[in-house]
Amino acid sequence: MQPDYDRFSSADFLTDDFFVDHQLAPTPQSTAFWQAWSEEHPQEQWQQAVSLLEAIRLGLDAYAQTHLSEETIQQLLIRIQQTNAQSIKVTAPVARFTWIKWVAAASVGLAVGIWWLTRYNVTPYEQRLATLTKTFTEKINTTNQPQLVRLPDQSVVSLNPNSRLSYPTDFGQKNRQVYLSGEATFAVTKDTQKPFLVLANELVTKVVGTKFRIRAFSREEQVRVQVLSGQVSVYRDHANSERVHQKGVLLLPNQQVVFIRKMDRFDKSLVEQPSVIRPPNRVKQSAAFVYNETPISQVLKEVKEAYGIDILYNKEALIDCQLTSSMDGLSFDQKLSIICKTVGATYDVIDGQVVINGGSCQ
Amino acid sequence: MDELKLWTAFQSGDEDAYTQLYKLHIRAMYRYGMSLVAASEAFVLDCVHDVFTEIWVKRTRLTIPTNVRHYLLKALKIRILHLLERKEHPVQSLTETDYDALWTEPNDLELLEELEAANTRKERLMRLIAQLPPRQQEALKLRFVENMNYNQIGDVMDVNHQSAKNLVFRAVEKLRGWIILPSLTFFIFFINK
Repeated sequence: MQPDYDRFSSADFLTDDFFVDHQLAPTPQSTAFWQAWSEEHPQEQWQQAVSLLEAIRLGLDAYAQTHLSEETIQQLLIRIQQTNAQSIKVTAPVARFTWIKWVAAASVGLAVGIWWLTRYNVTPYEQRLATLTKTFTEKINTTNQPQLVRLPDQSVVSLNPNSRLSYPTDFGQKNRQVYLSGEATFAVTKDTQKPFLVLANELVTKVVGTKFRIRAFSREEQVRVQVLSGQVSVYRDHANSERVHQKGVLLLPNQQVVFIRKMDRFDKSLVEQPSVIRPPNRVKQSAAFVYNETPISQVLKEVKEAYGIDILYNKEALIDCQLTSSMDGLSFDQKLSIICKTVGATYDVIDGQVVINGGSCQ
Repeated sequence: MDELKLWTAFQSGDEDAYTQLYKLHIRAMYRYGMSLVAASEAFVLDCVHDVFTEIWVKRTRLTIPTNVRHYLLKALKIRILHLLERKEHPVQSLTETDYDALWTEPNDLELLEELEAANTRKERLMRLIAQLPPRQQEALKLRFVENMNYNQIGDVMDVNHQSAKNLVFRAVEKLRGWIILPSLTFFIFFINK
């Protein structure tokens, strides 16, 4: 069934597939058709349509030729292939038992091991251990309770069920490096000369002396690091480059970072239940977090210091605000809610900091 | 080079076929992604990465698309929109209806200025197309550069077949109106070069 081409405007032609297809890729049949048609019918709109199509294609040419360098294409391809390599699941029989047997053979045939790795796409944890040239100690928690591991430098690790921790025999000589698969809480002894590094999935968590928790299961899409006390820096491990300080995330107490593996992205936030890390220092021995017509700026200062969480707000707008409340025993969020209700403001947590929006007391 | 063969090969785990599909469509995905968001190249490439890694993981569960390019462009757009929605800071959202309503028709003087700024006919046409509402521009690109049919265009732009056609129709009519504006200066500019 043929549309009524002689009634067509140029715009009609341009939205007609048969016309457009012929203009872009003529076939003998379409050529014959349009030739015959144009001999018998008025051509003005048709002609206009042809020029218009040519003009549109010309105007879109820059878009069609949008440049993307070969190098970028190649690099992206490699990135895609790397992500795919990591997403392949390791089935249970292969995961633990065969791996241990293989470790025994490692000293005999490291080359074989590496071939096996590339063939079966094992987890980052196993990959790292395979490329180690030194001997190491491994602790695997096969129970359903956390297990304590004491490291040579007296640091203590609480290893969760289904998790594995390894450290080389020269641990503590030049640096303190451990490998984690799963979840563990670390209490690290202070030693500024020898940074403590935890390698888990694609991340390196570096600490001096502190308490923190890392969750890095190979099958999970995220890696989570939470700081309980002290301070920790977390960055992406780049296998080929020197582990010089990379752009990463600095975590303070009560902060956590979630690393989204597929997107290579860090999301910094607060832990779910921030806890007081430094009880407020009261000159008059009065109870902490109890306020009587106290200026808001002082309240916020105390909360900020007690939790170690930065709180940003408009000092001028809240200059006349006061708080009378007993907030002892309330959670961090509850304290913030009360403060905000009092001054008529709201708060957001952005990037591990609290931002108070609005509010005024006239 | 039969794309359907490449696709079925990729579905059974053929990495070479997968790489070929990537090479065939990467440029189109890149330019389409960049035309959708006034965002960084890195963001668009991240989204392309996400689309390809996701189809690899799900390869055994995918259906065979009638048009691979259409499938990939749509997947890319969905990914871009999804990520933009998740960001905390309000980014100009691509919700289509809002955008169109905000678009003001350029007046004759503005058009003239655009055309004067151009040096070649090609550039003039490029600038005229850029004066169209974004949705119409997108429809033009999908039809005349990516060669998708109106069903596919509708699918990518989340409208039906007829609406997709209307977008192209209106774009064409508007362009025609601008190109043959009854202004003497225009004629001179347009015919001379």
